[in-house]
Amino acid sequence: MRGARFDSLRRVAAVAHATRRDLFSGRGVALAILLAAAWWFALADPRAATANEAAVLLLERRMTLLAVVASAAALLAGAHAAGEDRRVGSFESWRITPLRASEALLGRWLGVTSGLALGVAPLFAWIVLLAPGCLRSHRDELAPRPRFLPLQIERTLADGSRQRWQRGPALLDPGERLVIDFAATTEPVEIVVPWATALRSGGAAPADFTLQIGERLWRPAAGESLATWKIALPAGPPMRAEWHSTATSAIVRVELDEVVLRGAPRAWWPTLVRLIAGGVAEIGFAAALGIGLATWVGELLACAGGALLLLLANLRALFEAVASAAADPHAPLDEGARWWAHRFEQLFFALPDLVALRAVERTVAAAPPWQTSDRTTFALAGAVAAAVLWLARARLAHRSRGAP
Amino acid sequence: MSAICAQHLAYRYRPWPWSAPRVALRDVSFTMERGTLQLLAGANGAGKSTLLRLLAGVTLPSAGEVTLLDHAPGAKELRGRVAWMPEASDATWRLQVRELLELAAALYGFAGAARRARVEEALTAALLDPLAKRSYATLSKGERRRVGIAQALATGAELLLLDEPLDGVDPESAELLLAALAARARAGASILLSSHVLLDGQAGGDQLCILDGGILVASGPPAELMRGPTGERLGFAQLLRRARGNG
Repeated sequence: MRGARFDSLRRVAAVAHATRRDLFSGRGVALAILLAAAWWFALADPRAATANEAAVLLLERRMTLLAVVASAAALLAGAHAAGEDRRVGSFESWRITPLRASEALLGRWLGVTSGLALGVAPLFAWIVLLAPGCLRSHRDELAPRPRFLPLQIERTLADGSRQRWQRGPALLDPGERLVIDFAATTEPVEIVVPWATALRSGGAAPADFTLQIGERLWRPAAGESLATWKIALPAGPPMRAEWHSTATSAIVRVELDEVVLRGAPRAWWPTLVRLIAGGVAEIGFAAALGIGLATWVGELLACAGGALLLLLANLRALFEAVASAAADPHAPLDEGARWWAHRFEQLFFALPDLVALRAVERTVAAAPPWQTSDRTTFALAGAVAAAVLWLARARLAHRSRGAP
Repeated sequence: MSAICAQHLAYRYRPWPWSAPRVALRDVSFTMERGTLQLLAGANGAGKSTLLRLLAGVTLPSAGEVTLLDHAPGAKELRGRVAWMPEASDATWRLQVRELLELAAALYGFAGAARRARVEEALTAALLDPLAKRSYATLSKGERRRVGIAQALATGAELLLLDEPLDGVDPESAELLLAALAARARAGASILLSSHVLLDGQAGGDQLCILDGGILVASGPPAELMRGPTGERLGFAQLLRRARGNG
């Protein structure tokens, strides 16, 4: 049994090796056009207000572009490999050999995926670590820290009335209080608090407030009117930060969306590994689509169908808009419509998730698209790719019978 | 012991689901002994490729029975014992000739030194030594057919089914290839080779079957079949006409 398995692996490896050596045979022009378009787009300067914003936009654009080009190339290579086998009868002639249909497809898939991944992985690493505006200059995203958002924020007005704060910056008038509650932490953290003071009539004003956490109290330095405090705190039970404006005329603006507890930075390399693994998974997914479709239809149709699926999957914004509309309690929807909207969301969110693999954990609230990924997504992508190849296997195993 | 035994084999197909069935093969029966080289001749559309596809187990017959090495086509027991070279040769592979042969040998379980030896032997037999490092995509039609033959030889299979292996091959190379295949047959392999153009006066092989319009119209030793009424050697066209009964 072990010998048979070893033989099977050897056959898969032989097909994968041949596929890798023969990637894009006869389709080099299509690949060259794809790369030229990507290169032109990657070189164009992004429109941004600041150098930092430009760097982030450039990074995001390059990452997305590389992922799109890699997916398209994998789709093209996969469809070409399987389409050529179908056209010249390789699949049929292999049927008489010891090579099984599943081994042939697995070999083709491994060959396309590994061949492209070997070329794309260094590019991913270069963009992430070395290119201008790379993640190395945005340490927090390269080595994401654990983040603990406030559980509850409550504002107490000068007349004693209280209101729960939902989102956005808080403008504290003289005498007002702000209470921010956090859950217990298991490691030392730092609290990040961006604030600024201003006069109602405009212009800077001297800051006059206190921030109390437990027994400790902080005050702004004399003349300080704009700062982001980062205060180190030990691990411990649930924590409360209490803000009290003691000013007589100035208002204090607290950027509550950015108030957060941050843990110590993690190592950067798991992020890089996940990033590359995500890219490879995406290549594998597109390759499986190309191979699977090309066993059923011609190469051109397979490319068009696969590209359409990937494009649909990338229209995440559309799916998100529909889902958020359905989730809005004020939306004029009855229960039935809401149920269907929920099913729609479940169904269509699976697809966008499949192509949003190339990334690290979501580290900020408004994370760019290359920052979303989780185990479920990987598992889902693997399941879909396996299902596509399984259907292709069924097609290859089919033998037509003559008419009676 | 027969390598192939076909009994009343028939194959009909519908070009479109709504059209009437067309007959590709009608009541074909023949036997091929092990360790022989058998030629299958016929004009375009005679049913040679269809017959080879049925033997390879790629398609199932409408009627009749066939066994290869005492097993039904497509049986698990035949995997690794039969090699089939299909008709198409217009692939755009950039793989080198040697790499294609290595792939064929690897699929049949050869590894390491044994695989290299198989590949070298097949390269020499198919006159491909000078082309070993050439990309398949750059080869001419005849050279590609020779690569197909070499791939079949590299597998070391007991039974080779070769569909039009000499199509586009120059006469001198075709003669040498036939000799190499005959030598392989003498060494124990069974080879069924189809062709729509056989070399005048040089049709080697132990048996010759002639298909016409899906019917087996003649079979026997090539020397006998190709001898005219006055003892002269017939050309392929003359042979076909005589087999049809109007020559």
